[in-house]
Amino acid sequence: MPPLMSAKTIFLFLFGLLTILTSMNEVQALPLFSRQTGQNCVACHAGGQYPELTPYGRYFKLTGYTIGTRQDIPVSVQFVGGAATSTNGNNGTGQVHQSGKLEPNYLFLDVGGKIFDNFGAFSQWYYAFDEQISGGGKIPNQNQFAADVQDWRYADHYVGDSADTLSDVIWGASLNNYAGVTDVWNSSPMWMYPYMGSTRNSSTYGLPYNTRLSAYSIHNPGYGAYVYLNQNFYAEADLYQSGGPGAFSWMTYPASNNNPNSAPVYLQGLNPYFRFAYQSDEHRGHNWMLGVLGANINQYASCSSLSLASCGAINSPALSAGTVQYQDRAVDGQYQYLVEPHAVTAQARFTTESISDPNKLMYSNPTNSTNSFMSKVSYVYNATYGAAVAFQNITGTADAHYGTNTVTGANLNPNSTAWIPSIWYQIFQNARITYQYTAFTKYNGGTINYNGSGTNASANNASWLYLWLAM
Amino acid sequence: MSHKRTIFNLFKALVTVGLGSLALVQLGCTNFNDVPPVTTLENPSRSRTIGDYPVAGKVLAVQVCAACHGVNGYSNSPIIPNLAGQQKDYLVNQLQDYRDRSRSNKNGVLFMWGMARNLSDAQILELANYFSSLPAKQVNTEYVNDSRLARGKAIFEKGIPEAGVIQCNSCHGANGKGMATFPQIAGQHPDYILQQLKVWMHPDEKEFMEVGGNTWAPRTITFARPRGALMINNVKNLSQQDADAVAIYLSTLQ
Repeated sequence: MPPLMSAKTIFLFLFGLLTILTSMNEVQALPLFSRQTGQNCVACHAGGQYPELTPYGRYFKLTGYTIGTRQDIPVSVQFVGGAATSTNGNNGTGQVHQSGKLEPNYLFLDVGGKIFDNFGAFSQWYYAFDEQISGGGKIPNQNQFAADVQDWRYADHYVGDSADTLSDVIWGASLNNYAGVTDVWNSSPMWMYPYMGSTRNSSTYGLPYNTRLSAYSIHNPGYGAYVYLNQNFYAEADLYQSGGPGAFSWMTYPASNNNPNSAPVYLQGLNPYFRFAYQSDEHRGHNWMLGVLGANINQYASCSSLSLASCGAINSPALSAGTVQYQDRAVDGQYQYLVEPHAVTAQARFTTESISDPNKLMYSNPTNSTNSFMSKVSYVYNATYGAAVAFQNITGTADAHYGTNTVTGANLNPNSTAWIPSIWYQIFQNARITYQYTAFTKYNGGTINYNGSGTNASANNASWLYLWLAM
Repeated sequence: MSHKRTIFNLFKALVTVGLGSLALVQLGCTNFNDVPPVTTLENPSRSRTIGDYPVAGKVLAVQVCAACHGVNGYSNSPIIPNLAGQQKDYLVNQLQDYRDRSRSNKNGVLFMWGMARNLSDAQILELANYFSSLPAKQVNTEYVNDSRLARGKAIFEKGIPEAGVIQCNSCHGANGKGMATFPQIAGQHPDYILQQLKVWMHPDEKEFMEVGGNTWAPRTITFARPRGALMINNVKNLSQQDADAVAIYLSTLQ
């Protein structure tokens, strides 16, 4: 990357976007859902901190994105770009581009919204500029469009007499592509802080290892149903299957057996995900949620990772080699206080995971386990000035999967601890500047020289100053 | 990667977004609004549609409005007004004022301009009928022992003659139930009452902001409630302390 991925290029790019958008028959410069309801973003997003949902935002999603007026042009775009740096120019995962240059990160295309009375969609696609988020030379979806979150939802809402025991029933079904993407609480795996990370430095996303049921982790087509009783008791179950090829392969586009940059995740049969939650009524601006969730995932290894002869195309599944079985169980909770100009929100999730890999496809031990704790608290004033801090911690058994000490040869463990503070200024509801810092106090089980090569946990620290725009 | 290559990729991304958007338009998304009013895929008895076809006001009340104002007209959030038992004429006026954007208190701009923008006169009347016919909220017991109640009661019943503050009950009725275009203020959330009093106590207050919907350009909005203009003279000399006292007293009034 030359030094000039620059203000000029970004400007040209944004100018192009504006040209496209303003050439449409009416000014379409606010995100899709806002145009559909005519409401300001803070109606659905707590203190304007996307993607955190207010009680009304949860209702909007659970009723299938169907409130409001259908849009003639159900499209909006988002842009994320900024400058990422790490403390020593190398965060230990072999990543490059961390010199603090201004660089574009993501372009998102959102389509959907209200389609029929009972049917709507949140369909997001993305383009990652020079994505470097996974180490080891694998660069997924670099410089091409890819399916981001998909949630195509049918929903209905029965309202009975308030004297009835069951006076309010929301139920629905979703076709989606990430376990947990359907969830409406921000303590859930897909929707927890940090809400944005740089393509140039994975540390901006937090912990180096996470449980199988975590953000952007189970990227497979899935379908399920949910019910929400009296807007208190929530239950959902989904089944996830292999991404492709097949009728649902668009949901994991462009992953394919032949795409060396983007491997489909092959699952054995149908893999269950479940979620139960109790949401309190709102009282004087306070509301809280307590829930449990989990997933059982049986996953094949890919041919390339096993170096098997005559297994098929580079990323086809090694079907005869057996599966790795993940069992994740989590308890989570959320608290919100929303009385303008104040918005205080907090989330936490504890996940315990057991990993069984009897054939040692991805791990050196036949069984492993991890425990992870993720949390965040934030405050936003007048939906304009915000600050947040996250604490993330994971512990687990040592395994070659997590690397080995270059001196002793001992397997490393995943034990890592990260703090992620951030501050932001929301210039308008569709433009925000954020400074986010990730500080590791432990990485791969150690603070000083955790890998034998003299790398300290803090060498993985990262800062990221970025601009987010939506139109 | 070379600089040229980067530019090329940006260009490619741009073209893809552009063509992709246009393709969606061509594929029929433009015709969403031309879907016949009620198709087999529409559900007029449980619809959350505003504007695509005329959904009955009562349906909108429970499917859309109730998300914040409650099915029974009691809102859970202190910044969102209770509507149960509110005066029908008052509700009609407010919905019309949100629709034509003449009522511009901050939360009205953020939340209600969009909700009201495509309502028909018939729907507005039906919504007003629905909420005005619900039994008013039971008395708020949270503030029964609040030391400010006596002051609030005094202002409600007698005003503050030396400051030119007229007693509330002269227009809003002895029990704060309101009449016709004068709103019921009894049993309302103190936070909501205070927000409204603020509009009149500080009539020049404005904010540079974006609203929702298709109104992209951010602009300066002066917070106002023109139909309540006669409140300006009544409360301009009200101290914040007295406003708090009145708001708390009103919430306990039945």
